[in-house]
Amino acid sequence: MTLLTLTGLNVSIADGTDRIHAVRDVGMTIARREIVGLVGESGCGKSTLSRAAVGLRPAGVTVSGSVRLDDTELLDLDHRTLAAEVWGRKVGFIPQNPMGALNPVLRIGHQLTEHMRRHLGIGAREARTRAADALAATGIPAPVAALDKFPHELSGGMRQRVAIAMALACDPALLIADEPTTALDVTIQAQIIDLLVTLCRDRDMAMLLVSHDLPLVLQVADRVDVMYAGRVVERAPSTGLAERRAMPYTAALLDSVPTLSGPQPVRLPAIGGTPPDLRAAPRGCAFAVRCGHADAECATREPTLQPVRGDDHLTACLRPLEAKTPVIGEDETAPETAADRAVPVLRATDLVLEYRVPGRPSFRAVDGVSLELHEGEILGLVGESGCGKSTLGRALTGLIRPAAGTIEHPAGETADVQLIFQDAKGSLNPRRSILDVVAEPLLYAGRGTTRERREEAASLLASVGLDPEVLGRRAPRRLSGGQAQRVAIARALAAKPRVLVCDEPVSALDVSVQAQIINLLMDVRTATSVSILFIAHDLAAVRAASDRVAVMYLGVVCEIGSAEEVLGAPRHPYTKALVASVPGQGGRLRASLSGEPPAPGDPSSGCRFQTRCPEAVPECAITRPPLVDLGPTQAVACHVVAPSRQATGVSPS
Amino acid sequence: MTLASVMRRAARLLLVLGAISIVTFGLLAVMPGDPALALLGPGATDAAVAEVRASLGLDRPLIVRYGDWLLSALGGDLGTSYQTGQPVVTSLADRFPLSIELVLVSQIVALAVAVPVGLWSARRPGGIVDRICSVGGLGLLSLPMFALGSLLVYVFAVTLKWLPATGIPSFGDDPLGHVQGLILPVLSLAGWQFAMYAQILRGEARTVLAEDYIETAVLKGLPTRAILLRHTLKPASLSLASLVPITTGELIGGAVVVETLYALPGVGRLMVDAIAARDLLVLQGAVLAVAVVFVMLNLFADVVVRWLDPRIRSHHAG
Ligand SMILES: Nc1ncnc2c1ncn2[C@@H]1O[C@H](COP(=O)(O)OP(=O)(O)OP(=O)(O)O)[C@@H](O)[C@H]1O
Ligand code: SF4
Ligand code: SF4
Ligand SMILES: [Mg+2]
Repeated sequence: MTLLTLTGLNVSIADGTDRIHAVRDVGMTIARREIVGLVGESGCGKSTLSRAAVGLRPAGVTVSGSVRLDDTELLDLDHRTLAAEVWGRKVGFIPQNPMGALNPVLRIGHQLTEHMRRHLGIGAREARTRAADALAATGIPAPVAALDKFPHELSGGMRQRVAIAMALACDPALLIADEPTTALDVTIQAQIIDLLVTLCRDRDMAMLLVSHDLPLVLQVADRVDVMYAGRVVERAPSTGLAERRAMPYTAALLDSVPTLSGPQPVRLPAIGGTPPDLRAAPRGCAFAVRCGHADAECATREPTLQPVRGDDHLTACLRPLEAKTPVIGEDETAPETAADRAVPVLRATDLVLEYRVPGRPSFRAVDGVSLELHEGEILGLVGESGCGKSTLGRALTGLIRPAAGTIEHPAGETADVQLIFQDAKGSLNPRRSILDVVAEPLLYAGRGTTRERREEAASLLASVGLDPEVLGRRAPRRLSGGQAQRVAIARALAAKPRVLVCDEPVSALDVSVQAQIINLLMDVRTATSVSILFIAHDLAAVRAASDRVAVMYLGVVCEIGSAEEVLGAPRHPYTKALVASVPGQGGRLRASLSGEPPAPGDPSSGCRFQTRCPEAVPECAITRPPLVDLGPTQAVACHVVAPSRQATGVSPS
Repeated sequence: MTLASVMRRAARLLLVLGAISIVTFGLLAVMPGDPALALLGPGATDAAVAEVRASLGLDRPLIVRYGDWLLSALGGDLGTSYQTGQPVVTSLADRFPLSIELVLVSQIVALAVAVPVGLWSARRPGGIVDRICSVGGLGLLSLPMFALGSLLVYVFAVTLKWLPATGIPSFGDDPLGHVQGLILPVLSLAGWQFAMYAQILRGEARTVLAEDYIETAVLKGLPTRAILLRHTLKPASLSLASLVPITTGELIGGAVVVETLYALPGVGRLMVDAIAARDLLVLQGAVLAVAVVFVMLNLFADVVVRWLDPRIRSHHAG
């Protein structure tokens, strides 16, 4: 039975004197108890559509068409009626960013009960009891105590559970979840998705799951809508879509996602170009300029959604693909890199890094880490947020002085280390032109004349795939996320570093752009033999980029080895759990780790992972397991997997 | 707040007062004009002036006079007025209640109007309330306070004759007259404060309204009133509260102007008169008293900020 029906929905947003046509002629249905996924690159209109689908029309936003929920036309209702009768009551909304989605100055209990009291007409007492039940249903430990807390006292995962409890409080028939797990760590992400799906099944709720993460959506949704430039371009059941996809855009999205299985690709197939400007309606297929499958007609006629393989599989494409035709990307054999020779350029030994907070005991973010970075290699560093990845990266650049341990540059004195951040745009001087931003390190190095520096900067820009003629004079703020990251890389390369530390360089980017940046880093490494420490929480991205991978948990390295070994055949219980939490690993999703990491810096003895480890033995509570070699490249710190009889010289103690 | 932090603040307050007393004492000493001359009038002979100076203790070195003053001040005696011979403490006690009343009432009036106006103009940017608020607010902010005061007097006292132009009976003697006498001064003082509060609140509330948590609250189905008053006002008033150190200064300055303009017997008038008469000890006492109020207000604002922002609260407690 149909719950929500959108017909001919158009949404335009006033932007200065222009109008952005963010959603164009979208029809969609969601049945009761159905989970529908909505995917697409950033800016394709997912969020705009999901708001319009519940009748929300903020100032400047014009919505036309029809939105029917059960038998009510939502676009006929005014804001006040929608607030009183629909929002929070029939439709629950789960926001994207758990950090910003709860009011920081109001207690959890207040935020959970205010709409219950209004919609259900119950008193404060009863609302509180129900709120505690709702929190308990989302798996929050000590729900009653949580009611009296403020949002900042909870972790990101816990806050998202609160937001879910809030959406569920009045038993809505439909949940709208806009990127509910994007900002969370993989293990927590798996828990939250698990929870959402279970709750939908148990409570007969339907859900619109908005995400840019196609593998995740394929895993949990019954049906998937792929959006591009404001339109739905493919609609199909999730099962088998990976093979049956008909629209080249869907195929490209699927291909550019790095995976944890299959052979490690030399290059990721990336989608070139950027989505079109939505100010003017595109002539022809909006994807035509980026499509490897286009022909002349594509540029003149705009395709509409038509059945391709059966009634439930629709696509808006003039030349749909056959099932499983590779569209982009070709096989290559890996060129020999300097990494194969294993010449160390940077060596950390028993590194301890601490933050000092006035009036409190200092906080130990990294507690005895030993690792080597080889010339021309990409070493991936993974782990959940707060495990000390960034701190370690910063220490390697010399920004943080170690409290104990050493950092050496065995290859020479001048082992210059450059740092690249997640927020590339924020790291570029907004008042300089891009050319000057890139030339800046040359100026500090006192190299050449202004003109020569500009020329070198231009060739650096070209080497990271940007056209210096077009972009050179622009201000950094007018760059897209991917372009900004390229500029940051060019600037880092200007200093001719031996080592690049990249701190989450792709986590804010769309998969297609992410693939481009990962490819770029691999190219840069091949061309310059620079060594790269690639810090990320996305295991598949790390696998795609890295030769070797180190896994950190709460300030220690628990496993290290080649990317194939660590992510293909993980040995440490934590690495196993991490790998199992990644969507797309065959079968339905399972949250393989319960609980959250204990407060970092907790000085308890024994193995750091003991509180969450499914394989713990009594020994784990007493002594810390040292890193023990399991083979020529792989080493693991675990009493069960690698008993420490033959402890190596790099034991973290 | 813990006892330790209260003690720390008290100690800081004493330090501030000490510094202020030294600075004002020094400034007053170098200020042109002679209290004795002011007391005797322009025609006084040199001998008479010298005699009065000696009787007031003004012939002693500055440092001795300060030490003397400090010792008695520590005992609660701020000296006596050169002009009237009344103890300074007594005149302060006489004048303070009216000033406090003026300031408090105008604050309440300013906030009571600024909160709804600021919130509403943030909710509908470019709407009618917003436009009136930004144009009117800018006008009020650029209008000197005495100009606004004179305008009000001209309209309501001189032309319409609804309200008295100057002076105010005490509340005990004539409650109605007291209230009537207070209206124009309060409006003059509140106008400027209102404009500033409304502008700040409007800007802050616009930022808050763009936050994700507001959308969450809207899609929970809360009525607009709850969105504005609960979810927007509290975070938005944070910066209002943290601006108190600046606004207090403006407020005190404004009170002096208004009291002078309407001939109200408050501390502001007391200070102005004392300056005219070179009545150093009165001025010194009034400045110190105002400094105490200033510091207290800021302390109060601190408490409010902590109440508004749980993040600060737990940070300091932790
Ligand atoms: N308030 C706004 N003012 C102007 N343009 C806007 C506004 N909100 C969205 N847009 C534009 O509308 C289009 C669709 O945006 P929308 O946020 O719906 O995309 P999205 O698919 O949710 O992207 P993301 O994955 O980044 O969340 C984009 O081009 C965006 O720039
Ligand atoms: S219509 Fe043409 S350009 Fe558009 S996706 Fe299909 S083949 Fe590509
Ligand atoms: S040492 Fe013990 S607790 Fe730690 S990972 Fe191994 S089995 Fe688990
Ligand atoms: Mg979005």
